[in-house]
Amino acid sequence: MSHKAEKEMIRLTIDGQEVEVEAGSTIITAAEKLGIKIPTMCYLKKVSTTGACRVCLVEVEGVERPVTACNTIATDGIKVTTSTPELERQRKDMIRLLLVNHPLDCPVCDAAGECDLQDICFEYHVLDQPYKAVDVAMPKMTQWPLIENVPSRCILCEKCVKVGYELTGIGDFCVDERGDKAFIDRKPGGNTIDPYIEGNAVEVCPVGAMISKPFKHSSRSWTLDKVASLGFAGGSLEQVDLNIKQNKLYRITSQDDVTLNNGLLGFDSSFGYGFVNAPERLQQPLVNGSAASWDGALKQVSGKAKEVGGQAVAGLTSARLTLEENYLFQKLFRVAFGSNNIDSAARFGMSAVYDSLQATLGLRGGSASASQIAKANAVLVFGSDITAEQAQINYQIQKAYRQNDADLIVANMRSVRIAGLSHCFLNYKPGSEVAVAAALTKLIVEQKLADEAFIKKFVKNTADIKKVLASVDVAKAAADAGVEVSLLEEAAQKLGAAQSVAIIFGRDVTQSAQAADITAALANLAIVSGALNGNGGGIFPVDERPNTQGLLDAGVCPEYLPNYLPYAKSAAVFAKAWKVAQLPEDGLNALQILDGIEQGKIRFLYLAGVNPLVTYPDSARWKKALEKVDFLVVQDILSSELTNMANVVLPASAFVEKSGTYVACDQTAGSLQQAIRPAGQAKTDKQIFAELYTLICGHYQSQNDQEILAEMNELSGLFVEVGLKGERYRTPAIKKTYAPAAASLTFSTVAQQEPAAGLQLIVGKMHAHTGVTSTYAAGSLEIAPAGYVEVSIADAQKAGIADGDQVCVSSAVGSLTAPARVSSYVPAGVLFAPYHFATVNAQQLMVSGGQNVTAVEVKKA
Amino acid sequence: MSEIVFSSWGREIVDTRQGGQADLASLKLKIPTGYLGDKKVGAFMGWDGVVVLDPQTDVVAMAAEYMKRVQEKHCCGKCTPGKKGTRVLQDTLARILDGKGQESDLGVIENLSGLLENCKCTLCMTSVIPVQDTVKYFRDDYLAYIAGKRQPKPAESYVDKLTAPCMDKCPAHIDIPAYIEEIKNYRFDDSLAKVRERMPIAAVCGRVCPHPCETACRRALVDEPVSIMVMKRVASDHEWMHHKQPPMVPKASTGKKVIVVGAGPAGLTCAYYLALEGHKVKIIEMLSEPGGTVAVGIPDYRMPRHLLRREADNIAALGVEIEYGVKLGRDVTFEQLKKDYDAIFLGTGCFKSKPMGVEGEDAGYEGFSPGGIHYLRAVALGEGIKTPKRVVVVGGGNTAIDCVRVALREGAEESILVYRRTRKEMPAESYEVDDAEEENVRFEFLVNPTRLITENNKVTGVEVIKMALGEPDESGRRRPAPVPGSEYVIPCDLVIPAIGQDPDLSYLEGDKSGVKQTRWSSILTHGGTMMTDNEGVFAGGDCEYGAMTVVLAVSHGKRAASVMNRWLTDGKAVLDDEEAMEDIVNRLGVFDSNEKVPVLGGLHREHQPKINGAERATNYEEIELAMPESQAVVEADRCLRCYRVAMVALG
Repeated sequence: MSHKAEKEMIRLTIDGQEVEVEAGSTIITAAEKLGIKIPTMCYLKKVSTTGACRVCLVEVEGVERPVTACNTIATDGIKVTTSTPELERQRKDMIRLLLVNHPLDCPVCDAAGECDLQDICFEYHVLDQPYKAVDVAMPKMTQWPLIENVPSRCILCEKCVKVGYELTGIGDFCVDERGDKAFIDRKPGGNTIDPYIEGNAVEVCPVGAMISKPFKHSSRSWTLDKVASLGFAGGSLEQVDLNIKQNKLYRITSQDDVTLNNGLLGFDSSFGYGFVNAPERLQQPLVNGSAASWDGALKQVSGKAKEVGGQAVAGLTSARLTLEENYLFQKLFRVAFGSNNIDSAARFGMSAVYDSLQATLGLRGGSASASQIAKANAVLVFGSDITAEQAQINYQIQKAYRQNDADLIVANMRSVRIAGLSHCFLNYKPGSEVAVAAALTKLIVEQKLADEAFIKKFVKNTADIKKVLASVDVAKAAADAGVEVSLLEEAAQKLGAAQSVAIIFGRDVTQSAQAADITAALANLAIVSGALNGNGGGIFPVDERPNTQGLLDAGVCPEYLPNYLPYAKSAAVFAKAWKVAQLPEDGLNALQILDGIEQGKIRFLYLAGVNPLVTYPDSARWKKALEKVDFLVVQDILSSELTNMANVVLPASAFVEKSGTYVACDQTAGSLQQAIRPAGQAKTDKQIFAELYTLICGHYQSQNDQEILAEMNELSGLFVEVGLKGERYRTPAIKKTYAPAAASLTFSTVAQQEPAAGLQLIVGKMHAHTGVTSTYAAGSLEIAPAGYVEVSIADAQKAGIADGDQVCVSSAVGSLTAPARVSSYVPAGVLFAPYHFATVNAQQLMVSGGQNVTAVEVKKA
Repeated sequence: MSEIVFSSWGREIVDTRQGGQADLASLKLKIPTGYLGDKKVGAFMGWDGVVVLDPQTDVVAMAAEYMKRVQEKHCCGKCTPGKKGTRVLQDTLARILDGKGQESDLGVIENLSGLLENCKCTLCMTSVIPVQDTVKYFRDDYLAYIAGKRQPKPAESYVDKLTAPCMDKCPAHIDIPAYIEEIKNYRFDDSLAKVRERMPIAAVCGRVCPHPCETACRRALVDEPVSIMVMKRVASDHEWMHHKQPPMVPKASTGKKVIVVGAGPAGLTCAYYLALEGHKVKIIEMLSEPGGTVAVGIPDYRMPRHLLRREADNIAALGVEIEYGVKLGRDVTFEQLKKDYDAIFLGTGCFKSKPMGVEGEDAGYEGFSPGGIHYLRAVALGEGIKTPKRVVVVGGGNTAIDCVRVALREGAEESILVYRRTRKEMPAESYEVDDAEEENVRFEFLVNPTRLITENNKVTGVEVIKMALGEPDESGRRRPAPVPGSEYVIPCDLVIPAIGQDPDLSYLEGDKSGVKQTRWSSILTHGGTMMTDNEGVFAGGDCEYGAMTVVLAVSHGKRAASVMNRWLTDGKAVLDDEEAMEDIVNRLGVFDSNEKVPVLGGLHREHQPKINGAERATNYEEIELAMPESQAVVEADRCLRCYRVAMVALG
């Protein structure tokens, strides 16, 4: 934007030292550049200036009174003095005022030891208090979930207000009341069904006003060790510090400036980590329900696998396991078990998404670094409740929106959180995704806003574009979607006119039965809108799990070896390297494995970090199959209905208990660092796979991450470089950056998609939960303790349903009973149910081909 | 007895307690002695000192009450000295009043006053000024309290008022610092909500307001005024550009029926606030669309009409019925309205062009327009008016400027503005004159038309005479006088006089309606209540004031709605305390152009992107583009938040 065009540089003098900064910089920024520290209580670099504490007073020559360094814009030629006896006196007096009626409860305050107020009082030797006032502070507020607010400790710096509003876009804090009574409150009007509380508020609070309830009074801050690692939710590298003491995780924090996420945490890192310490953690191996030794349990597994033979063995793994673990998983199966019957939940959409992106754009995953999203001029969020699915991507969008004035287009079946910020909200009807994406593509071309030069150079079938778009009927698309043509036109205009576009799509696409078709339509849109021109933005499939990219990169599916090498073609090379005569032929995917179990062909099933009883579509059918299978191995961290069904239970490790690599949706790799020992006798997934491998094959399998990555890379060429980099937050390897080659992109034909008829149930993620794991985390349960079904006001009226009524929802394959939440976030004709809860098992209603939407009937139970 | 007992206003000490005389008039202090008719002003306290009129005033009690209100009612709590400092001051003063003070407390007050100079804004900062004055000049009274020798004698009542120079200068008295602060915090919806408390048509006043507020912006004293007007547009555009529905919800129905005549800014505003109060409002409008002179007198390139319609739709969404094509006096009589409704608001505007007083103007020549406002309306409504190649517009106001610019867009090859004074004296906004110049409008200054030149009943030119500027007249501008014998002819095909308008009040049928008129043929209203001499009939906007600004019309509509609401519910057409204080403070004046503002300046104001002159002169697309929100945030950060608190003691 014009006002952001190259800024001139200005020079100023601070304490006699000259410094050059960009015009528009504050005095404090200039001082930081010189390494001059100006004391402050309210300054937070990553949000807009506040100027509340008035401690950072400095003198500027020619200005009669002191000015605040934190929010005064420096001008060319000024001379600043940061310390004089008079300034120090005034600062000290300011601190005294901050202390008027500040409670002296430091001994029981969680912030003690990391409190900026303590530090500044100490530094300034504030030993007396000449000012007296009646204490009018509001009483402690304990009624919020997960955060306690202590107004008497609050210095009203507004950091909590701003971090939530300006950076994450979801915080609802505000200043309430007047004068000395003023306190931090929450604005009414938030989503009451999936309520959000901003965990970053605790993180940025300089004192002990914002207190995390799960952490409260559990540990003195200075006794905690901080281990640099990664968050466990969302396919981004959320660089965090695991706060550890005596082999226990107490909390997760992060740091500004030095992390990719600039200190911002997702909900899961703030509050959802409680499952690590849950009493349900599996502590030792079980064989047929009884405690067993590792030796005995692994022998059971290897013996049974050998007994049934490779053809009858199958395994399903998870995107919560590291890249190394998933690599070992496929190696274990293909070499030790002699089975290529391996797969994961990616089968229910994400695999198809990647294949579709590969076919159209030559890409598997995101096309650019996530930070490029913040540089986009227009952002399209398609079929994703992005705040819930991938918090760090949401933060990048918020940055584009607020700091780069990006136009925001949200296409979703529900009024998800980010829709509230959008310029255009395309509230499309189920089954119209392809039509909407194709209509936008056509409109951009029709409005002559397509990036013709880019298309000419990079698209190999340019001649097809016109032909393909001729078949697109915008009016019909608008009618199918239930969206005004004018709104589609406006959205297309914004996407077309923008210099750089980010297209982000999520669960509603990646779990859809039409995932491949919708992805292809979005790839067309990416081509014409300029999302791939390398000037910012890109195309990004997102996922709630931390390592979906790594899971697929590792080749955990029957059709690919690591780095998507076609299985049949490359098997010989791998066989040689793995020192076996040959790899097993063919192989079954998840759906075929299910059929195989039902037909008695698969007799041995190994589940690593996955619970099909809750998370897989058609979960009831999976349940029957798992009951039927001869031998069930469950390798997991928490006991559940599933472990109760298992012949052998292998206790595995949570993310804090292991090291390894996560690959983010933007292709960047980061390292988990082990912070504590596994619970009880549990072992890491990597260790279990390696030990089984050694047990069966008789030769050693390395458990060293770098060695595993090196082996994988040598065979597959996934990375351009392997080797740990970085001091604190480490990068284990680097993938090649995506850049389309000339005439390499394919503008694909637009698939036919039938708009869904009748009432539709969407199954999806809610923000406080991820997978089933979070249902063992007290923090997540405080936000949402149980499952429910969201019903629109219109549908509720029609069916005579009141909020809280038990309703029965049934589809072609199953039914559930759950409390209804009458909601304005779903439109008439659409129901929504979160999938995380074993008790309200929403996936029972979905067919097994993989889908996230199905026709249902609803009635009062 | 002296009228003034003590005054420190403007840092000038007048003290007649030991003798001497001083009155308000000689000190040029525009503070009233009476309040809302029946009460007396005992003392006034504010950002620039204390004025004591009643010798019985308990100054210490008043200072304590003032600081209490500053802390508990007005202080935002968003900076340390404001939040904590004024609390300490409040409690210290209360303690003294309670007989529990010590002399050292006076030192604490003094010390805090210094610390409060470092406040984030001027609210708490300026609030210590009068308190400090009382400590300094009424020290004996404090010492008497501290010695336990005095009991408080508070005034019968106190009334306070939050103001700011910009807020005061704005006729609609919008809480400008508040809405700008919301922009600074990226809370555009909250910003718009703040604007809507005083003005329902932010899209309009964010675009075409002459923004008197910006002439009272303290930021201008260190660099340039804050772009106050554009901030309003940013807030309003945010809602529109995000397809958001306005959040306003009217109160429960009162069962009262009000008719508003005219859907211009005054009428729309009045209807909006009455509807929010739960009254059933109907607007009748003679034109086919809403906005009055804004719609048909301001060209679309300055004020896109679709946004005006959106504002009207928002008002209609509150339950206001708008009937178009109905003209009072033609389609319905005043008497009928009086009979059918519980109250009437007349917002009928001012659109009868004034005659130029030149030879031939009433001869009905082809090529002579009845007036600028007629020309603009005919173009706006697409009434098939043809604009010839050479156009002369006579006048120096905004309407004249709009006419020359519209003429270019209507195909004129040459568009000439003729004005009898110089560019400096033009009443039009200077940026609009610049805009016209960029679009290649030709200006002929210091000339006045004398005669129309015609051929076959058709205008072929206008004869003008050169003018010279003499002594200043009552408007302060130098009076132009013709230079004898300097006549010459400007050839042209169309002459448009745009030298002012009068209201058309023929619908009142003289005195028959009971609504009296001023000697300028506008409607007479009383005491700031906007009520005419006919009870229950209110008037505002250009028909009440004469052709003036949109923002003045809005202020009339708002004030009228407020008084009408009281009249409809309590039967009394009176001002409330807030309004009374608004007028008192406005008379006193809040902006001090001589103030030395102790902040670091040197920042330019941010400007909206603009389409260049040649490109824009051919169409009606909006010239000024929306300011990117991140840029608006930068601009909003320049606001110094110059709040002040005034308080009167009444007896």
